Amino acid sequence: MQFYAEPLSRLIDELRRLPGVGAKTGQRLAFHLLAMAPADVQRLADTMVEARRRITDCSICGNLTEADPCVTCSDPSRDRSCICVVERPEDVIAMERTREYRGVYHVLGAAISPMEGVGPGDIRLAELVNRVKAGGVTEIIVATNPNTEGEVTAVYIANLLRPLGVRVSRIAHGVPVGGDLEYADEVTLARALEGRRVM
Amino acid sequence: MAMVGCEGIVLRVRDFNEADRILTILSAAEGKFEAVARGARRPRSSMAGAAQLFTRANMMLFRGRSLDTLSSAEVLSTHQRVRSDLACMAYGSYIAELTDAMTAEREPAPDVYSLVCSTLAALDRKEARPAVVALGFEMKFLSLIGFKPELRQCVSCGAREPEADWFGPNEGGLLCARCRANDLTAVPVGDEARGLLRALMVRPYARLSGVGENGKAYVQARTALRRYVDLRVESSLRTLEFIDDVNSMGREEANDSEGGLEPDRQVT
Ligand SMILES: [Zn+2]
Ligand SMILES: [Zn+2]
Repeated sequence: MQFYAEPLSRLIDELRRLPGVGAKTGQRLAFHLLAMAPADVQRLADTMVEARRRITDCSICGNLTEADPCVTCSDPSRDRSCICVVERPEDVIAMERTREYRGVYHVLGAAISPMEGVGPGDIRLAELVNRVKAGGVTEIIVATNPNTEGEVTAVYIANLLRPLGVRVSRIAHGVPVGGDLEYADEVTLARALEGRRVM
Repeated sequence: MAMVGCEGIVLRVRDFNEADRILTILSAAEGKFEAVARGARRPRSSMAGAAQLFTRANMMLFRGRSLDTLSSAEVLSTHQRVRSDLACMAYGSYIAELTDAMTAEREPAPDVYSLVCSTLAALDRKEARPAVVALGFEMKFLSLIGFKPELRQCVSCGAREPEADWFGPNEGGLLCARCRANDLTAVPVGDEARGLLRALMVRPYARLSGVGENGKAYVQARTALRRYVDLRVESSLRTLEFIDDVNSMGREEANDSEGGLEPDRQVT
């Protein structure tokens, strides 16, 4: 059964390939695009193509960048002896927002996940080992997500890098700032207790 | 909306919307079902701890038309060791995926639930041997859901045990030398391998700790059982590919540095 004109149904199909977009959302976005001025649609399409064409992965840290190496990797004021390992480019942005961190990054691309078929060989671990082996690195901060996949990835990285003589630490996960202790769940509290610091 | 409470274990976690997670939960009374944990990806969520793979919890749920909503959860066990060791997590994920693939939705499954609980608890022990636990699970699980293999005599002609020294995955049990031609998938299983297969079926995990992972008997039993599982599961399991990939990576890098599920004690 053909509900939509052919170009419209193709548009919906393409939109549905985006994450989190199902049949309903795809249809809503498509109708919205068709209601927009042609020039605006053109600009949106151009911007998408342009971004995809000009943005690549930094050959050092794997973060998204226009120039290779990226701004962080080529900034002389950054501390190259300390590498913060994250799962995705979004996580670099979150870390940068703190304005606390002065080291460099390593973006893995994903976390190890047996369920999703993502093995240690599928993420940028060999590149990380090579960076450490190249010398000058003394500390690795593992900032993968505090979920099952992120945890196992962190442990795997620690086992992989410790023999190379670098300090490997994990960012503390615990009671969030502003959260009342009594509302924190058992797992978060247990984790906070594990990651306690001497005062 | 109706509110239900049950004890359950999280078999699968998928991201959903901006900050939600959809959990596949196995419980004794409710069987397998899906529930959404709203906001579970936010650091401040009180649900984040419960919405994790392998977590066992007492849950309160709003019953929805197609999807339940997790309203609150009291965590009973997070299986911390399973979650922080690559081999345990890989085999634990396999156990979860196999369970998910072979159970129907919303069918009460108290026996399967307690088996999955005891299996994850066994994997969570410090001295656990994940590959052996997974092998035990395969045998116990298949037996429980109606695929209990015949391990005393030839399934075809009834020839007694020492003569029946083949295992026919298709026929569902031991086969003698004459009958094994009926099953093209048959593999040899010697005295020790047959003993091991029976032990996997009846012994609790604590009493499987002496099983050696490198002997001929182990390899025969594992091959037989893996083929048996393959035949029963209609889809190919991602976690099994993961385990094979990581193991072969471990072999390649054995002389190098790390890699593999268990660098110091190779499982294959
Ligand atoms: Zn870079
Ligand atoms: Zn026979």
